[in-house]
Amino acid sequence: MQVFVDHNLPGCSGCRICEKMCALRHEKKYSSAYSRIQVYQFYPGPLDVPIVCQYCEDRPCVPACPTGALTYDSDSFLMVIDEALCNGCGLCNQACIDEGRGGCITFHPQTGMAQICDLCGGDPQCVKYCPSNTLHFLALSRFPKRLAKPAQLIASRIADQFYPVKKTVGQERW
Amino acid sequence: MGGYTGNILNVNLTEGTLKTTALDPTTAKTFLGARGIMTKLLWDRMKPATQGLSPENLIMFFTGPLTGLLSGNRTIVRFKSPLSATSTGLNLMGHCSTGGNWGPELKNAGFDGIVVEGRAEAPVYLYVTDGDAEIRSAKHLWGCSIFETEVKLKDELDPFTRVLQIGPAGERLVRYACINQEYFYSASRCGSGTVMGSKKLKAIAVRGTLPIPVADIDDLITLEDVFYRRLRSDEAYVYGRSRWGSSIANISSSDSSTGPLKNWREAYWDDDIERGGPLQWEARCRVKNRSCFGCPTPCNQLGIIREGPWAGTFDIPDYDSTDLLHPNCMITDPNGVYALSSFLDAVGLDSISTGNTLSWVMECYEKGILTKDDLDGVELTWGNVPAMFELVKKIVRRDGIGDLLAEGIRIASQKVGQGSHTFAMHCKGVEWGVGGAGNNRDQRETFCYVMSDRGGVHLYGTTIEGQNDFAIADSLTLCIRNVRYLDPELIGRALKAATGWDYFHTRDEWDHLAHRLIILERAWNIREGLVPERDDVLPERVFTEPLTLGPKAGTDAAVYDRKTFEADKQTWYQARGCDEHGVPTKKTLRDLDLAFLIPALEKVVTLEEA
Repeated sequence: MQVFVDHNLPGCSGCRICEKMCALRHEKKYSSAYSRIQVYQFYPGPLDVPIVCQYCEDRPCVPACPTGALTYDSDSFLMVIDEALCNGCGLCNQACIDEGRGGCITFHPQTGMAQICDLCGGDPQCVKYCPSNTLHFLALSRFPKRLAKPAQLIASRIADQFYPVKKTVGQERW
Repeated sequence: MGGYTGNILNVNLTEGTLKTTALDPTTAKTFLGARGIMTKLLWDRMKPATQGLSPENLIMFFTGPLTGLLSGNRTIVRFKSPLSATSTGLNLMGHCSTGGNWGPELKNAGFDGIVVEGRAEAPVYLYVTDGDAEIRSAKHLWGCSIFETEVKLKDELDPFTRVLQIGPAGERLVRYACINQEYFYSASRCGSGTVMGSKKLKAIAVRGTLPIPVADIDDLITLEDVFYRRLRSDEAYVYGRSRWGSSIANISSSDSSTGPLKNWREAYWDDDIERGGPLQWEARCRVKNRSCFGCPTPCNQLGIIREGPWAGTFDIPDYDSTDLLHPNCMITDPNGVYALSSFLDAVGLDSISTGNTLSWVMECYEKGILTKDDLDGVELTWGNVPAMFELVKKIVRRDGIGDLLAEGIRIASQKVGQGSHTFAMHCKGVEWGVGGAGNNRDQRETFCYVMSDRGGVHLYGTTIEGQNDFAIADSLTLCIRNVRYLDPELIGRALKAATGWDYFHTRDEWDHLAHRLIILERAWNIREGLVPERDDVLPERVFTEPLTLGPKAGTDAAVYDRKTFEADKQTWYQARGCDEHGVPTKKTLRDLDLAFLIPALEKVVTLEEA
């Protein structure tokens, strides 16, 4: 059974409490740069889209790691980064993007090492403190073809759903 | 020193220089944060009697010790306002605040605040990154609307950049232009955008990744949980805010007869006006809600107009802007309200001041004081949305009558004359806001317009206690809507965890600190030319035209008695430790550790001993 942090697409209010709590839980620091979850903003809107590792079934990031630092632990069902091996090359995240996923891996601003969602060992802080119930904990025992999606794609889907007309006043040059 | 980053970025646009100075720990401890520290800096650094549009004016963007932590997220802006003025035309304090993500990002970039002085020769924008800053050319952005600038800068720099910017109204020095971020989050009162425009500063873009230094991280992690639960403890409030936002107050303000109708002539409405109300937003337009950084009650309702001539317009309607555009201008088409509100955000105009200005012109038009010819052919009848659009465009372009209206209703009513000043609803030049105060007859609430350090704003607090709460909230950059669920003891503990210093534990200590900030602001205004007994006045309408609609009609509350007003003023002066002329006494200044103000104040007024 695979467990991951799922999100209800148009619900995010962009408060970024998830980012704050993630950075506090993992690094005890007040800076969203240390967070494993990132909230993107898209315009016009703004539309907010949280991006976090979706624990894809095929995990293109794992084979992309040249040093073997990024692995999937099939006993605990968690992504694991071996800090002794990670050299911060960024190929894992590049593979995530290239395969059309979200670019869900962030990098530690000081050490440059990869950071990936580890579900906080079972009690994800982002889910616990999400005020709009956008993020929730989802457990799937049977695997449909489930992949992470890029923020841009999610935003355009929300826009298609809610914005029938794509123009906005006030764009004229003064 | 945790909580604060300890750095202030000083920008001189005339010379094009940037300098980082240290935040003095004693100043930080005495004046707490954003609002307090900025007033102290204004006192120290600004030459007395500087005018709002002069290059010597300073505009400051500050955060406080709790910004980026817990639910602190606001950015406070202070400057010499080009709009707020004494009756002789000397400019006074300007203050506004915005939420969003900009303040926390600035803290992450390693700065507590930015002080901008001088005037650039060509348009520039400021780009602040981790501990570093750069002045860049903004030629390609000049003339762009707020919506365009936001997107262009984010494309150019980094999608995670947070941007404060002005629109065309600020560039053309319309006296009530605002500063916006993320399209609709504005720091709008008192002409903040005008000051940025006069400095040729188009935008301030910030990107920060540094951790905010704190004293006791473990206690703060515990407090994050406590704050989160506290702020969501009132379920009805959280539900209402998340679903309707502040616009829900549109109904209650009419029910309690505290809203503006027809240029503040009445305070109660029903029928067509109510049906056209902002609550239509949910049924017609709403898409999702948005919140500021770290706030668990998302109260901004984002949506899009789906039909009619303005289809495709985005907006986040807010109570104040919709109330002043809608019942105050008698609009009955809700889409018109949203379209106007969005348009004002796009061009960078303060919708509160603009709503007041339009309603004042409408009344002048109705009474024949301004004719169709005076208005360059615009038929500004009540509720005529296309005509309002046309006039707003004239104001932004400073074209014809727009040039006069761009000066604000204090100056416009002086020029137009013919008794139009009796219904020009402003205090000290700043047009009345409405949310949280907004009652043109009720003495308690009308009071905040008179006593406020920055004219007719609605977020100064209506009672002594409320004013103290707002002073502290503005200094800590907590949202004033959230602060009512927190208590001095809890905030004191949060401050201890953030900074390592003891600020307050009890309500008395909290009030003492707030009193210090409020008296410092008043003293600064007095130094800049405020004469309280001459300038602490209300528009004539409040005293002479009783309400004729709603629950207050025919009662004592329908009109504000002049004698009661004078008595109320004295009560306030006394509670604030001022003499009968509204000037703080020497004893008050000494008690509040503000004795250093005495020499400068004695040059302009006589200070009484006690």
